[in-house]
Amino acid sequence: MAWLKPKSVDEALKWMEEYRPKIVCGGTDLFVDWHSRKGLVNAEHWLDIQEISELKQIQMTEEGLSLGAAVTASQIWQDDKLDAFPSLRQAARIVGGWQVQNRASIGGNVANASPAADMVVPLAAARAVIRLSGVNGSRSLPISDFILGPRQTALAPDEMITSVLVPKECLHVPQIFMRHDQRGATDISIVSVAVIAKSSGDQLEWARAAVGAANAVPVILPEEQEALWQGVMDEDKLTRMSELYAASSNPISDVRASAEYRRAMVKVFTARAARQVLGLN
Amino acid sequence: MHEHQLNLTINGCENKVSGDVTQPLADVIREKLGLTGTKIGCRTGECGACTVLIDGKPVVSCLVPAASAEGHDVVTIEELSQKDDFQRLVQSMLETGGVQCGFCTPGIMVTLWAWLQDRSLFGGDISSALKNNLCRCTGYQSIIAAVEQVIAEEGGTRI
Repeated sequence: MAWLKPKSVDEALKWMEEYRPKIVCGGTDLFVDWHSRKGLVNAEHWLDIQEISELKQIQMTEEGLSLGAAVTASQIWQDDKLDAFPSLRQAARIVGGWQVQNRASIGGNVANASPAADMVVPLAAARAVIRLSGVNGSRSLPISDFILGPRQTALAPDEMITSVLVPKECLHVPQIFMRHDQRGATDISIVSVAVIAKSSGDQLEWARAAVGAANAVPVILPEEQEALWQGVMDEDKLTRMSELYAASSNPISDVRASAEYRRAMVKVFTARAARQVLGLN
Repeated sequence: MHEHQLNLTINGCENKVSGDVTQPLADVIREKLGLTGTKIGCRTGECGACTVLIDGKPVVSCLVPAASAEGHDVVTIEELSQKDDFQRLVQSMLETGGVQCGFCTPGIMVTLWAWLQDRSLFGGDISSALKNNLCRCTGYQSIIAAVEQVIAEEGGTRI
């Protein structure tokens, strides 16, 4: 068993071909309760991407805000560039606690594809693009084509996430991330929501929202429904929009909440988040 | 078993440790190095009893595979306890009653000390910094009072 620490993406890809390792960054999902779970994890070799400096950069580019796969949650909430995309900063501040945030990476949160992931929700609302590099080249996928189900992604065995791009139209516009949980502590969300909106005067030009923990993958509305986020938003319209998100959800019942409660909370939290973003309180 | 030789810098000392590359750093610290100040509570990254510093930042060492800590600077409570400012925090915790059963205390002390090095973090809110440290006895008020007392003694403003 080898623990590989590549210094560049090129070196990582070379070793991926050679060793077929399991990729790890902070390890805050993979190594939970390790003594009980290690027998279930099928990994001969490990590729630790934490020390690849090109994956640790947060950059403002022509296309938008680019976050390297190994950027940590605490890097995200501490970096001034996140002034442009505060919903992700809010999500990064709520993941676990300080100690987890110092290790957990954005690439890992996306790759882990937990329905209850926090940082994934603002990324889904923004229609972020996941950039992948593989032995045979690079490609980009919208996050909705990347996360396919609980712990299922479109990542090929010889591919790694290199960065996440938040498109520029979602930067510097009003937005919010909200999470409903039991204790406001290191627990896991019952329902979470991100809303990003662009208005001029009292007219809403557009809004994008995503709901987490209420479906196998983050809930976003089909284009024709999402286009209804427009014009003067009053309480009636907000109610109708939040009902669309609730209707598109397909939550599970588990130890944290029942499916029925989760669906009800999708409606409540979507409307609450939208009211805040639109200044309707 | 996959026996490997790992080189870990813990409290400024180079240690050669054998074992699985994925063994939790918390186990290495406690069982191989005998540094039992670091406690193990949940092994799921929730309780914070195993908090240590890696490159100055608090992390839960139960979730850190030992091999990933190679080449980094790991500091445990045994090293921190040698520092004067840490001892001031100890005194303050004793005075405010910040310790009851004591099991969470080492992890909490590591987190508090790290936050005191950069108090602007979490908008100056120590209770946010403690989110990853579970204490079932104190209700946190006496712990926060201890930190406030340290800050007040230094002539700073109370939070």
